[in-house]
Amino acid sequence: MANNRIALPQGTLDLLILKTVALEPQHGWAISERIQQISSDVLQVQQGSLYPALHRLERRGWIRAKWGASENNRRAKYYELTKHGRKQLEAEESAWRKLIAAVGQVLETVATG
Amino acid sequence: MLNDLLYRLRALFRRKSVEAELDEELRAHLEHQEHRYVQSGLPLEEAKRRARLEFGGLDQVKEECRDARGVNLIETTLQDIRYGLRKLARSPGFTAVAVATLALGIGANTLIFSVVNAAILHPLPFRDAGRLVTQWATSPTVGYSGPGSLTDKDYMEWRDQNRVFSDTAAFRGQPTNLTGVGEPVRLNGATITASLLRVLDVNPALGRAFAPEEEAAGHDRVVLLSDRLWRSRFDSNPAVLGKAIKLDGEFYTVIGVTPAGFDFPDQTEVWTPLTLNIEEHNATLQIVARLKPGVSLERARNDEAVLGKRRPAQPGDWEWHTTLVLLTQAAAAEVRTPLLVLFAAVGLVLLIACANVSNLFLARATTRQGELSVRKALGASRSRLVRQMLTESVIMAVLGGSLGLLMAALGQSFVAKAASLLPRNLESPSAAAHIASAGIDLSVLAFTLAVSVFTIILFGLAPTLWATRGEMNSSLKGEGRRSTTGRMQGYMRDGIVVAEVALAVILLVSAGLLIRSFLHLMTVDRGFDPENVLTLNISLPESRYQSARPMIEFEEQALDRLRVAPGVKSAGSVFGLPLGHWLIGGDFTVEGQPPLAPGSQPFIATKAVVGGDYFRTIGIPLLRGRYFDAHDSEAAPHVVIVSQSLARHYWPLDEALGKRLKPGFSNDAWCTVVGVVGDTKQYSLGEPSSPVMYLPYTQAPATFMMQDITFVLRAGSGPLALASAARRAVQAADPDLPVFDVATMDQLVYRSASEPRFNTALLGVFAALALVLAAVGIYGVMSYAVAQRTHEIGVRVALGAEASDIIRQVVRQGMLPAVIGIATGTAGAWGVTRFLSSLLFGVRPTDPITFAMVPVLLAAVGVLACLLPVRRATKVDPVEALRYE
Repeated sequence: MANNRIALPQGTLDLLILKTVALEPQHGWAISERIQQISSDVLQVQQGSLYPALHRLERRGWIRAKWGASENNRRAKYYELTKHGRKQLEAEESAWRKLIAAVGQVLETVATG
Repeated sequence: MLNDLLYRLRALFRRKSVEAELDEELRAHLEHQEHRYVQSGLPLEEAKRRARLEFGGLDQVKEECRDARGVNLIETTLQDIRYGLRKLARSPGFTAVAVATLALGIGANTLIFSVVNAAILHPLPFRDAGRLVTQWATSPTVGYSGPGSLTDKDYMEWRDQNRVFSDTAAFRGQPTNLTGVGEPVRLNGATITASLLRVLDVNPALGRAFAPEEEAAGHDRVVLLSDRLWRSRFDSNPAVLGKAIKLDGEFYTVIGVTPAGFDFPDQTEVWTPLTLNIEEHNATLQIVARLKPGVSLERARNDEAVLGKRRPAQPGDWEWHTTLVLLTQAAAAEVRTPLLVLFAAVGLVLLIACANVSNLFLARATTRQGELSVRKALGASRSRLVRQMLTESVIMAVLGGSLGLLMAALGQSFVAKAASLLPRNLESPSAAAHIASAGIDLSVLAFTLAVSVFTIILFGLAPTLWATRGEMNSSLKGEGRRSTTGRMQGYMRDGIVVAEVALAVILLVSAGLLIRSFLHLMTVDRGFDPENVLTLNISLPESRYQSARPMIEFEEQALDRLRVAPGVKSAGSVFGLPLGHWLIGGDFTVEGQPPLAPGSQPFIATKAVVGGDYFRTIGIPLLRGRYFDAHDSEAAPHVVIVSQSLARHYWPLDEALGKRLKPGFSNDAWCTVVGVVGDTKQYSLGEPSSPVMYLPYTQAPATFMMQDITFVLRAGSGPLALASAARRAVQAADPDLPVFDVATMDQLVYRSASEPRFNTALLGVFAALALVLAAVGIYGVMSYAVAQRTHEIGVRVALGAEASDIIRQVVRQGMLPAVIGIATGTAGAWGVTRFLSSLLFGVRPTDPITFAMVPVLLAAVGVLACLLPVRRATKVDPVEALRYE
């Protein structure tokens, strides 16, 4: 199991968080679970990086925090995407796709050339 | 952006609740994870343990979250300040020395800067003083550089035809006798145009200013009083308005009082209206004008009306260069050089102080290497460490700056008291007087803070950067001294010592030159004997003495009474007392001499008028011929006595007696030389003795030379005791005459050297300070180096080495930076002292004695500073030394 885990590159955590809360407001634990689930356990988010990232994004105004009750009826801090956050998400997503495409092209060309 | 700010603010001010929230949030995460594990079948305890393990360091995450929130800066700064204060308190010796050193440097700088500020940058308290201009004249022939004068006609043309001034005014300084209000007293007065107050933008505190109509003869018997006069003589009584006072025997009505502190042009107490006379030949007016908005000084200089006032050069004419200058420059001219020298000196002292504190911090940083390495290993970022050390430096600078400001304030009041004891030169205020009037104001405060910050960067950053750059490993192992960092720091320390020793040398050489120059000034031959001579001055008012006869009668009567006053051995009178008030000079005609070639400079002599036993009283020796006597009356043939240099110049091989000259006044007569006397100093002790011609009072060539009289008396001893008797004697001849400036000749000589004395004393104090600081610096570095080598020394002593050998070797190594510093400083001083030449008398800026003595002095002090710690080290028990590693 440990071999499947890939280290998460620096800037991508922000992107994943924004995407995750874009669908619906989530609290920290749920976000990390969701990312792990959807990526089939490949992406493991360390708590040490998750929460600082959440606070940073909140400071930047891309997500907004609200306290509410979680599944276990426990008080938890929910994060949702703001208008600015949505714009930021679009921008980062498109940048990421361009990056993927470009890298892919280079790899392919080099491999066949 | 706004969001960010709000977020940060909220996090800052509602810290507790934000902290609680963070705690809650992370705890929630833990519980959710625990719940998941429990659901998948783990027992509760195991689930908790797993969850906790997975989470990692709770506090670390919290710390990172706080970082992400961005309020860390303020919180950590507060933390740094608290920590810094604790650390500084724990090493009181270090803190005390560093703060004291800084305080001295900053305090001295603030003091001198406030003076420079008051004297050079903002010498005038008038609104927009930078737009005021005046005429400035220089004549290399006479060696004059000062305010220029215009004739009345010149001024009127200037006023009416210029296109660059929004307003113009003229004034003339005129001392005057005030009688009828208490003791008769002589005051500085000025006649001014009604526009003067307007130009300077000053409004009377009481009453009104002059109206233009009052400039006409007959309507001009009105006067403005100074605030000081109003308080001292009129009890600050507002009823003074409308009162009539007697100035020079004439009644004037008081129409106003000027605001406190106003004494333009120079300690003026009374102002009367100026009546312009287009016929007046003599140039006696000074002008001040305000530039129109947008007009530059250059443009004003080229204005036609201004240019037209250039006197055309004539053969025999003294070369006058006149130009328009800012009033602020004119006010500062006299004191510019000495003050700037002082400013440079005190700047050097500050640098030396900074160097010392820098070294202190550097040494401390080295010993704290261990602590820093541990903190770095525990995860502190480099910027955090630097910030913390910087905070300590800031605290240090703030403490030093506040203490320095306090010292400056105390110093200023002390210096003001000392300076107020020195009389001002009537013609121009001295540097000492400027210091007396300077205060500590906001711009000085700003300067102190700037200096404090500057010193932070100098001594805070440098050592800090070095301290945190180093290899942490070796310092953790305790190898500090031998590592590369340790060596680098050693070089830095030595370099700082070189710098501060060099600076100290420059200061000491400068002070040495000034001291030698001052001593020379005091011992130079004056040409007269000032011991036991009393002088007193009177001024005969024109209203009661309208011709020569009554003046001669007064003079004879006064001298008769003075001669018989108790204690008086001889008495005389003079217009043109050496180092005194009234000294005039000019060219003259000598019989038989060819006319002056056009463009060449005429020979100038001081012209004096003497009466009674003047020469004998003041001790000017007779070299040939005779003194004046009773035969030289009004009707008798005109005679003159000349000084030796005048005789030598015109009749080098011939006998001067019997030759004739014309003194160079409007109704000249041929005067025969009947005596030659020794040369004397005239204007100041520093200049070469100037040639003088003396004329008898009864044959004075102009009445203005008879109106102002200085009586000189020789006493058996204790000349001041004669003062009241002398005053009574003079006032018996004329009761309404104020007697002023009673002083012994010794006092006059002392006073005439007050400027150089003051400058020398101040520079000497700074040089001494620099020497002490440099010595402390060398001592400090040496102590530290020796402390590092205690182990080595202990080994050598244990192996049987002679203490004296060790001492010699270590001192030699330690003196190396000092010696380099001395050499550098001497070379630097060689180039720098030329700027002092205007302050030196009879001593060259490259005076060999000073340049030889200072390095020796500094070397001796350096050796002593090195010796002390080394000797102590060799006395340490070798066993103790060996134990230390």
